[in-house]
Amino acid sequence: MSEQTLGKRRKKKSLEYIDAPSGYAMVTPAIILLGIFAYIPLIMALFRAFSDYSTGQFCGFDNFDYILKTPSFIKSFGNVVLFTGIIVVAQMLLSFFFASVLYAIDMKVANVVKVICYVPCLISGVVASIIYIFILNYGGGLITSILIQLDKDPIAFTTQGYWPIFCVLLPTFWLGFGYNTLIMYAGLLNVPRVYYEVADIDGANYWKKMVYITLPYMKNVFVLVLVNLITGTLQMMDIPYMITGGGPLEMTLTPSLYLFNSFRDSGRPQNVTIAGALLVMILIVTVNLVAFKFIKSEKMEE
Amino acid sequence: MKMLKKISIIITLVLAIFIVASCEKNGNEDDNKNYVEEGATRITVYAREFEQWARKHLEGLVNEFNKDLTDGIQVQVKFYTQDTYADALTVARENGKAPDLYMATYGELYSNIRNNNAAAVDSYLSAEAKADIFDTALDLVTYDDKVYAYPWNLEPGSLFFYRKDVFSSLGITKVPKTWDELLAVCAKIKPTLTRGQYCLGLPLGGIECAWATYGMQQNTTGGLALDETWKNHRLDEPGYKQLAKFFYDVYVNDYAPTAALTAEGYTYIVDALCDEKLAMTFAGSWCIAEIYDYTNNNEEIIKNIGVAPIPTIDGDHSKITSSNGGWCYCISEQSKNKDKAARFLNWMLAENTERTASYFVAAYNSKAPTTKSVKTYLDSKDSKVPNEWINVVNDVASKGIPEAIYPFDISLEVGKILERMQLQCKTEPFDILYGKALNDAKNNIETIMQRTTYPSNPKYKENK
Amino acid sequence: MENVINIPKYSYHKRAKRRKKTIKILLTITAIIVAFVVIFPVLWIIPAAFKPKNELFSIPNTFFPVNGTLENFTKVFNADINGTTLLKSIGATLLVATLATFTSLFVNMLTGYALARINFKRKKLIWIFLLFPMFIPGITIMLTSIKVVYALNMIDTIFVLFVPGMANSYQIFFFRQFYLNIPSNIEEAAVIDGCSRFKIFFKIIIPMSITPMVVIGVGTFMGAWNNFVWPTLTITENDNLIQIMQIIRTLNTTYKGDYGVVIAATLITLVVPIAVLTIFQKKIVEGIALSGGK
Repeated sequence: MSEQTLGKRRKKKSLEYIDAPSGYAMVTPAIILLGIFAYIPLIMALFRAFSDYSTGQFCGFDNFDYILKTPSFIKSFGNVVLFTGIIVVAQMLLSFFFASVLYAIDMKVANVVKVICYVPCLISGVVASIIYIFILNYGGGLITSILIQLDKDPIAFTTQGYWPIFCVLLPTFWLGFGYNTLIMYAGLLNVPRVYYEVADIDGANYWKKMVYITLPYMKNVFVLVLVNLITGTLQMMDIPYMITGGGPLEMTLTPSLYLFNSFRDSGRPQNVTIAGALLVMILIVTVNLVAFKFIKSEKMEE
Repeated sequence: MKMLKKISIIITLVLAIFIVASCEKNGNEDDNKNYVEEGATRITVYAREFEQWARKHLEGLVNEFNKDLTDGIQVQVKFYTQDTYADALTVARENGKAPDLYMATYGELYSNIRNNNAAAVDSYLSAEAKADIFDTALDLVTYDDKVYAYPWNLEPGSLFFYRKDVFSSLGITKVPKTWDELLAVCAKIKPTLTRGQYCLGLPLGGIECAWATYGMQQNTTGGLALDETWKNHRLDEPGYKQLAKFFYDVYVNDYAPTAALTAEGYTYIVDALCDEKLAMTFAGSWCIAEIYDYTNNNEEIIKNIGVAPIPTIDGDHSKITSSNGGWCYCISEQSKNKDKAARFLNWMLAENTERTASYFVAAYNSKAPTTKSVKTYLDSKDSKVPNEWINVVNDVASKGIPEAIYPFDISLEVGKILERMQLQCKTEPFDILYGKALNDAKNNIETIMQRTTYPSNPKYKENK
Repeated sequence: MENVINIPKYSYHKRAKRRKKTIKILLTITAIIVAFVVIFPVLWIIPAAFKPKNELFSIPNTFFPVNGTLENFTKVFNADINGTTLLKSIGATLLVATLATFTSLFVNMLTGYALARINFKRKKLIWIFLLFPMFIPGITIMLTSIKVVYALNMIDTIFVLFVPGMANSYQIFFFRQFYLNIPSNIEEAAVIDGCSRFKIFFKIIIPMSITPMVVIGVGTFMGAWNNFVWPTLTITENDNLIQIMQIIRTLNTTYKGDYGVVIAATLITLVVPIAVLTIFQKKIVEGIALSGGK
């Protein structure tokens, strides 16, 4: 039935806007709320980023100049882009893979596994970090304990070599895994089975089915997950804060963490921090736009 | 629908818990809230919460002050943890509700002055009280010939703690005074250690190495990272290379751990010392209070710990070996009751020697007093803290330099050099590693100096 | 005819079926292993609530406490956090989280539905307006949001804890996506019958949206439950509204390094979300089963 076509109405043109008043009424609360609590603060922040902190006067790009001439901040940008790249790829692949696994196995088992994987999402960043500290701590963590019992030297995960990056990425991945798998799984379930059955009759193998049926239907889900992952990971802060504090030699410093500490440093003119935060926002928007270009999402299609 | 039923059950549960919980009276009836003076002006104080005893002490004082129901002043103190203090202060200022009084470090004081958040207190400080303050302390709160805060305490940032029992069991009779001696002692101790034990604790990580080494920088190079004008850095001084070499030597021989032994912050070195995981450590005077706290006043352990000025490059302890951190009380520029706030400050810090001294007693003498009268008072009293400890603290504090007030980003660059020594000493020979680290630091500092808003030293007069 | 075709097909079929079954078993085992690996860290820290401080990082690590103790729980209950008790705080957080969940679900679902199904002028513009805030990092507008909220006199009221976050771009995106994907025949029939859009929404759409409602709802609930930074900045005098995470963070700093206390507090406070999850997980199962079976 062609009723399945996404979002395309079959009404006569003259009746197309008949529901407009309801439509407006429905979106008004959101418009007002976002207007007051998102757009107004944003505009205020823009103003402040261009004014001097102690006098309130306009000062051009001084604040941006300050933050851009802070080597730590620049380094954090590079770090977070790298981290986001790794996490996005890993999460997308592994969540999709695992969702497929769940799709293929017995429904009852899948449900139990699903709920279990969802548990980490309920845990706040603080508790998640504590969990990993218990495992990775140099002096007495679980891994150290095992290594010592095997008569090997403990590894200082938070300071040795490239381990700190692992320390920070692992909990981040762990936290998001369940949620993303769940979404992918729901997406998979929404692919109408009829197509698979038809393909089976035609004798298509697994990969063909995947490429020609699953992936196109999952496109919207992918976009959703991707945007969420990118935006979220670029703002990573809780975990590096608790586990490495920014990392040895700023290896795990992220812009949000740097700004968070800066916000707490009463010695710093806070408008500089706001300027830095605006730069982070520009980064997020840019990366998302680039990602969209690659995927050419359908969300703009009406 | 079944769904609706479930939702209504949950909502009832929620309301039930909430009602029960709010009916429950606030369990700990604080006696501290008993004194309420009607119609009095309220003075708010923002304090940082460090240790339990510090909090109790301040609460006690505030309570004591509020007992007087006729002076028209009601003091209310709010405690914030290290994490939330700056947020709370910033937010309060933004909303026009800046506290009348707040605590700050001497370094923060300067920023507060620059941002117009601290009021000059000259008019409230009597000449007598001013004369009573030590010069080193007064210098820390004076800018442009105006006094901007009441110096409350001094905390030497670099002291050397060691385990006497370890020394005596290995026949080490002299406390090391020079770096060479220290390294020799480490070499002697190392073979006797088991896995998980280390000879020495040093500041760890870029940030700690930045602020905990001011004293060492001063001692080895004759100054800090910037010269007097703040327009040039001093990293080419030979002292910096020597300081870096010292760190390099310690870590290349595995004398010190490269990661915190517990998950705490920098206080782990003290706990480790008490637990016999470290034989010696560098720490600030706050360490003393932590020792008592951690070991629960265990005299056995305390007997076995010794305190001395830090080993330096030449061992001359008459030179400056430490910086003085510490705290002061500021009056907000936005406060509408400055004089009343000052009344409380005077009452707490300047009028009564014994009252002011009670803080230092409660602090196990881990902080050094800022006024001569208090020091004399404390000297005359017996304390459960070993005398030699107190003497070392006072001695070092009297010579201490102020912590750096130029942008912390610059201090951090020095810290990063030392951190690199700690973490990468095994990968490359010293000269090459130091060369790279120095280069990076110099480039970064130069970048920072190019900021259009880069400040100049307020304490440097052009035509000196 | 059938016999001739069936015989060769039969044995191929049997082999294929067996292969399929083996794969299924392998996959099931994989799933179980993954589930175990994921949940293991959580299980590992639970005993920490019962260990005294010096046992937390002792070598060798033991799962069960050597000197089991309840002192962590005592410390948690006796902690005085600027004038409120743990129980009160749980109540407050619960109230806020529930309010936040229901109000935001309502607003975002409504908006998502309108954007997906109703046509009105400048819809695209409005859609972009509503989508953009998704890219604004919290830290950018933190300070200025406080000013806004202060100007509206919302500080220290319960509203400041759930109203600013009520409309959420990501959720609007999510629901719009969901509504774009579901068949519209029932709705169209109702519209022809003369039903108003709002009626359609309440009577038809909501029942159809149980799955995403639950998924997003649980997420919102837990988000509000774990919220820390915003309450710290906006609840200054009203002790009744102090949230759970504030208490836990304070404990973390007061008992620095004594994670046993923090874990104990977390366990106590996790009782509620777990109860919520248990009640709703059945719905998740039902919901997904329904939509999948179509």
